[in-house]
Parts: sequence; structure tokens; C-alpha cells
Amino acid sequence: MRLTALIDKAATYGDSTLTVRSALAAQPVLKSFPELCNDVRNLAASLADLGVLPGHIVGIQAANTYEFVVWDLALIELGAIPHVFPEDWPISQVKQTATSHALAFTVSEQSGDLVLPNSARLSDYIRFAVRPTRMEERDVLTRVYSSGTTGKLKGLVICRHGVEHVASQFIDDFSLSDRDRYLFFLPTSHFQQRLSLYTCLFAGVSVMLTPYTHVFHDIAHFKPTFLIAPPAFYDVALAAIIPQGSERTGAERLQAALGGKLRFMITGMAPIRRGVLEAYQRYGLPLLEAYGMTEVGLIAWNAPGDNRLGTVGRPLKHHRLFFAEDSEILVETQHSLASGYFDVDPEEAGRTFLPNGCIATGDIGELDGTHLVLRGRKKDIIITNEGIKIHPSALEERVLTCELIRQAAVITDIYRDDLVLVLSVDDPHDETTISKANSLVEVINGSGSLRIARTVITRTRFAVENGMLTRNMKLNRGAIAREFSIP
Amino acid sequence: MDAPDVDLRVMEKLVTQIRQNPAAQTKPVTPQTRFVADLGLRSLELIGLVFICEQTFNVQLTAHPGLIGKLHTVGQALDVIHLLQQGGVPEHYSPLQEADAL
Repeated sequence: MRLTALIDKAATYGDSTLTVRSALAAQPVLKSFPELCNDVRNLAASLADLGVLPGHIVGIQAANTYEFVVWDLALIELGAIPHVFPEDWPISQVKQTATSHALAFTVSEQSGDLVLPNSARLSDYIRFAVRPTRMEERDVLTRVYSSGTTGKLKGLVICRHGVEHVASQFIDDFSLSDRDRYLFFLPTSHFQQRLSLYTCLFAGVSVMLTPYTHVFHDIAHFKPTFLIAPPAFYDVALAAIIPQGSERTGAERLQAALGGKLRFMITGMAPIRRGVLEAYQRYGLPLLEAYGMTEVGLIAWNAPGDNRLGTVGRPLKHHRLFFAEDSEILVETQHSLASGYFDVDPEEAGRTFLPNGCIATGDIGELDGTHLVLRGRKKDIIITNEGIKIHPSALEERVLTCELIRQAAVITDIYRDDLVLVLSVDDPHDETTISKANSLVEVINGSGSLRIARTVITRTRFAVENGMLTRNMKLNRGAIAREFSIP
Repeated sequence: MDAPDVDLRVMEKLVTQIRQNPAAQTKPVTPQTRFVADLGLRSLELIGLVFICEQTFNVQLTAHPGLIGKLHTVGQALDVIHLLQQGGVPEHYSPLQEADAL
């Protein structure tokens, strides 16, 4: 299985389709794989005429659109390297990065230049850099951004052989074929989504991309045979589809609402409640936990017929797992998805891509016989079950600007559903203190995507003696959560 | 209780159904209640709420591109639902004080 043959292979699946619904269009675009491949080849030919060569790096910024898929595949077909920008970056930041990396050119949906050659002349839109970078390394597939354990965006260089390895194993372990159908709704600027798309093209799996606003509607109509989604999706689906009191008909309701053809569903990216996994199992729909990071790719997965609840599954073939003294999971592999970072301080990069060749995951875990069990994050970063990363120290610093608050800790509740703010004050019943604390929480909740769901105001001080501070006087969030996370 | 009040109570029930953490703070639902800022619904919970609203009120909110992103309060959602139930065209729906709603 080689990415150089991806388009030729996909074109052989005459009955397979790609459907893309854009957020603002009433009707989705529907193309057969041969039609898609034709569009890809046409664009690749036009780009070659413009002077795009293997190794040229081309910037792309777009939402989940058909045009993005065609551009991405056309560049890969040419051996050029798509440098995919996050869709929420302002165009000025995109242009600045494009200049500093000497990208050949950049196309962005924001600028309206993500066009296909049948609708416009590319030369009207594209201006080549004077001396564009041309990468010699033939194994580089694409450059992407991922928020690592620090939450700061890191540039990652993705390898062709890493993608081929994961795609090949996924097709084997999950028995994918051209009878399968797959729907996804997360942004294609997250590389995992593109990885799943390439896998489907290899195997002839029909695919639908839809905005998250349409996910329930489109699942019912598209009738996927498998899904990959964050834990929050499965949690919400249970609540939406099976109201309390209707559990007896839960299996039928789930089948009807989710299209009735599902063979399996996969989740990862954040912890999932055990009760959710058990509920899907009870209703006869296997929900399989998987584990990975963009640097390595997939590290372990549960598969149909090999699913152990409470684990993230069996490590992939050719990955060797080691555990550091603090139980951090280290992966040794010849088939990592990424060969390294770009725009990352070498010292910081060296904390993940270790000198001994292993990749440090930042996760704590252990092997339970053949299957991997995760025990938590090495660092303090909080990941909600929607996969949103929260940096507690920045929030705490903000809260501590109020002089009545002596100490503050942001933790999650026991299911990692919601953020809990624990405030240590002199008098937890003082009205001024309560009012100031509430005002601060309102300001925080109104200023962004995160939300403090519950505030605990306590007289208890975080101290070394009660275990809520570490010996070097840092917050021990685990201990604080044990005390305060249960309402 | 008149029809809008009934729908408000139905909406309250649906919000309760979709919330993932029943232990989280809850506030009484009024037409002015904001889905994100007051009820703390997250993006996927909002989408789940849209799904069960469509089933409960027999309307298709998702058939109108861009509409869902404009609905920030319970009152705005119920206005659109009533408009759709009467065969209205939501593209022309332009909630007042939209910017304030967030």
C-alpha cells in the first residue's frame, strides 16, 4: 500500500462515493471515487503546468470542503507537500508563516482562492514565491499543526510511510472494504481526519464529511458502518436518543437514529466514562476505545472481537512500548506518523522525540497483559471529554487577581465533564467574597469557549500537610480533585 | 398555561435531557436563557438539543444553512420553531440583539 498509488487505487472503486456537506450550503457535493480522482488529476495537471514540483510546499487553509479534499490529494499526487494551516488562523498569520517558510504559494478559503481548475484559471489566483523551498526528503507527506501536551500549537512533519503503516493495519484489523461507509465531522485540519480519509480511499470505503451541526441528521440518512468521534459525541448521542425511561427500547432507538448499519464505533482523544462504554455494549453497538498521538499515530486500539473495556486496546504491530520510572508511556517504532517538529524549540522537541529514538507520550499507563491501560496525564493539562485542552494555571492566575481569594485550583469533576474552580478564602460565607468570586466566574465564562460549571468556596488551605500541595509547593490537583470534585 | 408556556416547559425538559452532567448547576429556563452562557451547553450538546428539538417539534432546523449558529437563546429557538411550524421561512429570521445574546 503506497500513497503514490492512492489515486489509481481509489479510482478503481466505481461504486464508492465521497459526500461533502459544507456548513453554508443546503445541498452536499456527491462524487463517485472515479469522479473525485478525475478532479484530483485535473488539478494536479494544472498545478504541474503552473510549475509545482515534487518537494514544493504549498499552504492550504480551509474548512471541510470538497475543494480542500481535491487540493490536498492533488498536491500529494504530485509529490508536493501540503502545509495545512488551522482554519481559525487569521490570514495575516498564514501569510507571515508562508513567507518565513518560503512556501511556493498559499491558497485559503478566506481569500476565496481555493478554486478548482474547471471553475477558474489557477494562474489568476496563484503567485509563486521567487525562491520557494523544495524539500529533498521524499518521505515527507505533509506539514500540519497539533496542540501537544503543552496546548501550544506545534508544527509536525508527517511521513508517508507512517501513514501507509497505520492505514494498512486499520484496514486489516477492522476488515474495511468497499461495502463500508464512514462519516466524520471534525475539521480536516486535524490530521487524524485526513488520515482516516486516505484509509477509506485505499479501501474503497464511501465517505461523508459533514459539519458537526448536521451530524445527527446525516448519520441517520448516510447510514455509516463505522464512526470515529470524541467521547462527548457518544455521551450526547445516548442522552439525545434514549431519554430516561425508554432504556427498554434503547437498542432499537439507537439503531434507527444512527442509521442501523453500524459495525463498530471508535473513540479516543480524551477519557470516556465507563458507563457510556457499558451502555453501548448493552445496546449491542460496540464502542471501541483507541489511543494515539499525532507524533506516533495510533498507538493501540480495541478492535471488533478483541475489545477489553477499561483498556485502550492492544498496541499496534511494530510498536514497542516501554514505561519510564514515572510510568510514562514511551513508544519505540520505525513507523511513527511524524518524523519531527518544525517551528519548535529543539530542547522542547527533545522532550518528546527522545535521543534514544523513543517518543514520549506524556501519558501514564501500564500494560494489563496484552492491552494498554491509561492512568492519566503526566502534566497537569486538563482535557475535557470534548477533547478541549484547558490550561489551569492561566485561569488560576486570573482568579487570584482578587485579593479576597487566597488560593485557587481548577480541576475537573469526576467524569471530566465540567471544570470545577476551587477557591480557598478566609470566610466562605462572606457575601462580598461570594459576590466577587461569582463575578470572576461570569467574566471567565463569558470570554471564551471554556466554562467553569461549579465553584467550591472553602476555608480549607491547600498545604503540603494535607497533600494538596507538592513538596515544591505546587498544586497537587489529584489530591484537590479527590477532596472537591464530587458535588 | 398557553401554548408558548407549554413549549417553554418542553424545551426545559429537553435541555435537562441533553445535559451530560446532571450534577452541574441548573437555572430555570426562560425565553431569555442563553444556551451557552447560562445553561453551559457545549457544542455537541447543542447539536444534540437541535436533534431532539427537530423530533419533538417536528421541524427541520438543519435544513436551513447557517440558522443554528444564529440561535443563542431559548426564546430565539422557540420563535424559529414556531415560524417553521407555520410554514415560515427562517432565512428571513433576524433576531434582535443577536450580538448581545452571546
